[in-house]
Amino acid sequence: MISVIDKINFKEYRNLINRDILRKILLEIGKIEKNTILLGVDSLESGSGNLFREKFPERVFDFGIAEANMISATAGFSLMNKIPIASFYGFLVPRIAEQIRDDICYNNCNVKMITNTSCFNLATGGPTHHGTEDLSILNSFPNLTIIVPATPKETIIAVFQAVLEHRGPVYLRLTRQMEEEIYSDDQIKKFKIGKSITLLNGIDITIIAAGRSLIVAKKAAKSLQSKGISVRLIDMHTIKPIDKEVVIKAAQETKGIITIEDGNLNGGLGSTVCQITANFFPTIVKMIGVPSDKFTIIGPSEDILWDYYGINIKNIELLADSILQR
Amino acid sequence: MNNTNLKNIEKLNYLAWKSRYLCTKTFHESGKGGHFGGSFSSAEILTTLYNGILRIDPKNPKWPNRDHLIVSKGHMAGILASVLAIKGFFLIKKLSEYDQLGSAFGMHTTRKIIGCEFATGSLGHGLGVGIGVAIAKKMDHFNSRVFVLMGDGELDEGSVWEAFMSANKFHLDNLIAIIDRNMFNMEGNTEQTMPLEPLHSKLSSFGWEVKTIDGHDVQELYNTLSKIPFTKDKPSCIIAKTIKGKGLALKEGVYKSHYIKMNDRDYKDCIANIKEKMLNSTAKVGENE
Repeated sequence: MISVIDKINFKEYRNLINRDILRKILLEIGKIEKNTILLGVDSLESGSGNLFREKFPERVFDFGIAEANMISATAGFSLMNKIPIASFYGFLVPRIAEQIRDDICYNNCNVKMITNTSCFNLATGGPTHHGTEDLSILNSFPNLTIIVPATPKETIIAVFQAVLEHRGPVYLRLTRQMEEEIYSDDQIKKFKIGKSITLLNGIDITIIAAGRSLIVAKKAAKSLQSKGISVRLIDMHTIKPIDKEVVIKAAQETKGIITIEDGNLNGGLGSTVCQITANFFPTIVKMIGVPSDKFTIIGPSEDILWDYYGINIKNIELLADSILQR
Repeated sequence: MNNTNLKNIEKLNYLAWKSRYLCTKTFHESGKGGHFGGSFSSAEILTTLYNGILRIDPKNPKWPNRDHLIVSKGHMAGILASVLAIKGFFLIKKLSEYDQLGSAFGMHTTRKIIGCEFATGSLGHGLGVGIGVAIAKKMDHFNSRVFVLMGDGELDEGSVWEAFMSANKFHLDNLIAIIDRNMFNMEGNTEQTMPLEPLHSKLSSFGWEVKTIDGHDVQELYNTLSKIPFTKDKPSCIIAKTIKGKGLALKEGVYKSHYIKMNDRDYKDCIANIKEKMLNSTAKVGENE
């Protein structure tokens, strides 16, 4: 059987940035699997569905600004063996949580939800447009797989696998800010949903990241290494089900763990890592992310908000020091 | 009306009362009681669908070109399971598993019930699911239909109106919404809780072809459901006027019928009343079921 990985020509994506990458991914997936359909809520263009829509207009459905109905409809489509790809802003997850839980997850429907607007992508939008709690909510839904890719190549392969190979509900948390690439073609071809990627295998401290914060973590790791610290760096692209064994191993083999994510600290990557370590091998875990007890603030850009909340290299270095000096 | 028609109609009447009988027995024997009100108001609707309208095969429940029924008012799982058992999707004795640990049969519909297309419970989901099924059927050129059975109380949910609005956009003449208009929410009259009227004209203005009928008259149900789609390219809606708890001697037509745990004496009376109705129907067709 030919794997979907062999169907991806990474070269074609090389000069594309941000939303153009997802536009092409969706188009290519549409060509490969005729049962894929694309659903939007007045969001097909901002959700990068335009190329798919131009090529396959009969497989695209705009539900207007009515997310609940769209999500219920995806479940209906899947009953008829379609593979619905629903595109919406990440901040809408709280609104449609019940439809996702009951219709998609409880009925175990083969539905793929994609947001390319996560956390602080719409920085100026303020708290109503900051998708900060999506993972806090979705992490508790059985049957659901949650993937947060870090780079363009990882995004391509994650979406391809989630739609074409994985059967069951998936939430793909993408970002509009994705630009830097850290993976070679050969490296990324080993990508597997649910299996984290260990980029550095050090023994002093572990950094676990998901999404674009992996880029920050990688830079911090380089800086720590220059100070003689041996860093373990893990790309936890699948938040649910999380790669538990790798977390336990990191707890056992390094002196502490730092988690970094762009989302609410309650229920996301860091919380899940803490649950695992607390249950299987207690160690110190320092979490970087958006505080859970205060609404976020308006900011001029995602990067500035990341800095404001300490999702940056400096904070990783400080926390690494504090762990190693214990 | 010729004799064959009369026989079929009385058979539907008989089966509707039989479903009430099984449902009552199931609820009572579990020791928990159940959602009598909304189950009993839908007995004729469900019975007519499964025994005269739906193109389904109980021996091949996943037949691709079957009609779909999405039961949006998931709390009527008791009567749905009874009707499915009568139709032969599974043995009637399976109903005794109601309320057991890990059972397929509980207060709300589950996918573990053979013949049940979709698990519901929280209200306001079913019509949206039906929209997806209906569009997909059209895409694949299936001539089968999707029916969505809804409660009137759940029409308070905003998601329902999102779905009503979208059906016309997608020209879903293979989608039929049946509203069990028993006039009651859980805690009172729909018009006091949140007024729905004028419901018929509201739905018409959303682009649906609407017919209001007597939801306990199996002849009228059968005749109306046989004529769908009422208009080409438009979704069909039936407002089935019903009585909440129809068949409950003491609590027929009151909101308090929504959920009942009967004492043994009330149970005996209820069963006696239902059995009498079953006998009346069999007497008319001149055969003993």
